[in-house]
Amino acid sequence: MRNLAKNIIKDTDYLYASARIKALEKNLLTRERMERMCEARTMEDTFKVLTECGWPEIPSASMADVEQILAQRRSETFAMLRSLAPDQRIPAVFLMKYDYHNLKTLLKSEATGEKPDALLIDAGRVPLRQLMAMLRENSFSDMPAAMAAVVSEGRDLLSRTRDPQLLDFSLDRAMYAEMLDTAEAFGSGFLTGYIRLMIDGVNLRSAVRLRRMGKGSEILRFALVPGGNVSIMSLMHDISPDLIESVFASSSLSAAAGAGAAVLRGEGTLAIMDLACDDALIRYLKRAKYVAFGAETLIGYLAAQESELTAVRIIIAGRLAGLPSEMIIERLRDAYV
Amino acid sequence: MEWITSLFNGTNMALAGAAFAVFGAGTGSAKGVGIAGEAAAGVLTEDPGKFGQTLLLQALPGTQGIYGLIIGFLILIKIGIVGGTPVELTTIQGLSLMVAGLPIGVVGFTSGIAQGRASAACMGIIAKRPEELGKAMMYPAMVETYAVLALLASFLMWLGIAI
Repeated sequence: MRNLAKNIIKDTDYLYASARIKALEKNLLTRERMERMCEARTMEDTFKVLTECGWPEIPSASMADVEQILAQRRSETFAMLRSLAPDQRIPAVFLMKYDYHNLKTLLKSEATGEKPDALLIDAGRVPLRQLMAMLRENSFSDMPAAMAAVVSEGRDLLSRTRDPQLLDFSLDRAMYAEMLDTAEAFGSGFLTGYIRLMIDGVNLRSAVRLRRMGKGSEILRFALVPGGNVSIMSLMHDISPDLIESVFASSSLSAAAGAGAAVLRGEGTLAIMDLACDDALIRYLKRAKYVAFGAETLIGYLAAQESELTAVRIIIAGRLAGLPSEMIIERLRDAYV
Repeated sequence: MEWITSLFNGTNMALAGAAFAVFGAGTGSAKGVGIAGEAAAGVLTEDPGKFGQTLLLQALPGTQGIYGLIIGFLILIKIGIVGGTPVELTTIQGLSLMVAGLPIGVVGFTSGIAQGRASAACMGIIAKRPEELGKAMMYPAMVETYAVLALLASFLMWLGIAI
């Protein structure tokens, strides 16, 4: 009974946080603002839209400066959410991907001897310097248990196969399992549903990509992540466009599956499928906007912030590369607000 | 047995009714205003210019406590504890006055909390569209209807009890 009581999330614990988030939501980039950024005459006008939304000034129109501002925004968002969230498991779920990304990069660098610096992101639960020291000294007592459990398996896999893709699959599976366990222990059906939908998206992308690369079902079995709404057993067959469409037909990813099937038929692109997967996630998250107060508001805002950072990166990189505005707009995900 | 008779005498029963009206409705309002206040603080952290609008919404669940106090006060006047000499009440008269305190005590408690939640939810409207304050106030104000009806029921009972 005591454990059950611990898992009850009281929406009134989120009154202050939710109201503050609602006030902040009005500064998020709407679709209209994103399109204005794409269509602005100069880069200064593009940046002006961001400053109107409370972003700091971007010193120059270089990707290095933009990346620095994006990293600053991400760290500020997480710092604020960590101070607001009555339960630290909410930000933790969103931080896990940085931990596992760094772990993957460092393990690959151990195997190849290449310097990983440019790829590392110091944004996870474990500070980067600490993570590097843990791996160097083989001391994992301060590492989250689920991560520590896959380090030796990852090293072993890499030394046996020399295939970095297999390491990615192995660590992704561990990451989604930890995300799902954390969300379930937290007791939010909304957060669990979000992770399950993410897993479905990952499985759909893996099935389509691996089939397109002509890889066999053995590697697909290794790549599929359990825990989604769609059973991975149904994907453990010879992947065909019809199978992809039928397996995901009744899920929120039916449009993305249609795009994936089109890729396999040689009619579409992977980018369209990826975009449809991300849009399905945003559609799911938008339910949080209609919750007056509760954990959902924080979860929706965190995901919306991450999606906004991606949108800004796409827009500015596209503009710096001289892409026409229509092409950049096509690549943009649906906006949360 | 004598202590039971003296404990449940008319005056004590009437006092319990007055206490229940004030306690129930007051607790409802305290909780409701607290709920709305927490949400108001969240909005104000990001936008201090919305103090006036958020204060209006926060004040709405405060009325139940006043209604409870009115009924409690009326009961005290009727039994002469306030503004007169104490009246000797029968147990039935005391019980009737206690029952008169129930509607506002119970409904004041539940509607205060419900109104606080509605006010807190409407803080989200103020956060995003402060110009819609009028509409935002309507939703929590609807809850007030039932607190007023309970006040009326308690008042009519109080009025009809002859001592």
